Amino acid sequence: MLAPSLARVSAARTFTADDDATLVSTALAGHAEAFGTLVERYERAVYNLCLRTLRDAEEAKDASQEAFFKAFRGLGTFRTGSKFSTWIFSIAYHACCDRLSRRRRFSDAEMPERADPSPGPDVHVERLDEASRLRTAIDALPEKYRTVVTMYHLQGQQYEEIARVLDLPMGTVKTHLFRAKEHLRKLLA
Amino acid sequence: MERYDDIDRALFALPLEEPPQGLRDSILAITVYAPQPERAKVGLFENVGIGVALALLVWFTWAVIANQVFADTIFGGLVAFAQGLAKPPTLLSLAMGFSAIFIVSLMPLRLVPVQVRTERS
Repeated sequence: MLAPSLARVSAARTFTADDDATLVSTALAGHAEAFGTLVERYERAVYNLCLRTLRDAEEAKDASQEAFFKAFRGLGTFRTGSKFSTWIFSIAYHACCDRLSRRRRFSDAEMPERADPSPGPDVHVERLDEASRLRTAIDALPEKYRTVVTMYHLQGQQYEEIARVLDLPMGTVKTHLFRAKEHLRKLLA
Repeated sequence: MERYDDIDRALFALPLEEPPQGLRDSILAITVYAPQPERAKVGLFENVGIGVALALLVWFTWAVIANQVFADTIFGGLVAFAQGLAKPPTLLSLAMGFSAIFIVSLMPLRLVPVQVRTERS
C-alpha cells in the first residue's frame, strides 16, 4: 500500500498535462488535487525565489509554504486571463518582503549573517567551484538585484512578468539587472 | 534582440537549487489535504425548533398578506403598543430602569475574600 504522502502525489499527477488556468478552474470546481499539480510545477521556482531573496534556507521553506497556502486560500480571487506563475511569484515575493521587513525591525542592516554565518561571501568566492561561486556572489548582491537576477536568469522570466511580480516599471527592472551584473562582475573578478 | 555577455551565460547555466525534502508534502498537507473544519452538529431539538420557527414565520407572512382583517388587527395592535410606549409614565419608568442598570454597571463589584480567623490567634 502506498504511504499517504505518495498516494497524494500520485493522485495529483493525474492533472499534469493540463495548463495552469485549467488546473485553477479544476481546483475551484472542487477537485483540490489539481492544486497539487500546481505545487509540483512551481515549488522549485518559488523556493528558489524565496531562497535568493531571504538567503536563509529555513525561512525560504516557510515563505514557500506561506505563499502556496495564501494562493490556495485566495484561489477564488485569481483573475482568469492572468498567469498563475506571475500570481504565485508575486505572493511569494511579498511574503519574503514581509519577512525582510520583520528582520529589519531588529536590525538596521538586512542581517546577511543569518544566511551565511561564515566570514562573508567575498572571502569564500575564490575557493568555491563555479556554481557555488556564482550563488555566493548573487547572495552578496542587494536584495532588489538578487531577486531580479533570480527571476530573469535562473527562472527564465521575461522583463514584463518580473515587472508585474515586483510591481516595478520595466525600465527599473532592466536597470536593476544591469547593475546586478556590474556588481557580479566585480565580485567574481 | 538581447545580447548576452559572459555573466549572463554563466547565470543562465546555473541550475535552480533543489527544494528541501518534504516541502511539497508539507505544502500539500496545509492546502489540498488540510482537514476540513467540522460542521457544527445541530441536535434534534434545534432542528425541530428552527423548523417550527420557520413554519410560523411563513404562516404569519401568508396570513398578513392574504387576510386583510388579520393584517388590520396586527397593525392595530402594533399602533396601540407604540402609543402605550409613548405615554409619559411609561417613558419615565423606562428611563428609570435604564438609569438603574447604568448605575449598577458602573459600580466596582469586586469579590473580596473573606478573612478567616483561626483558633490559635
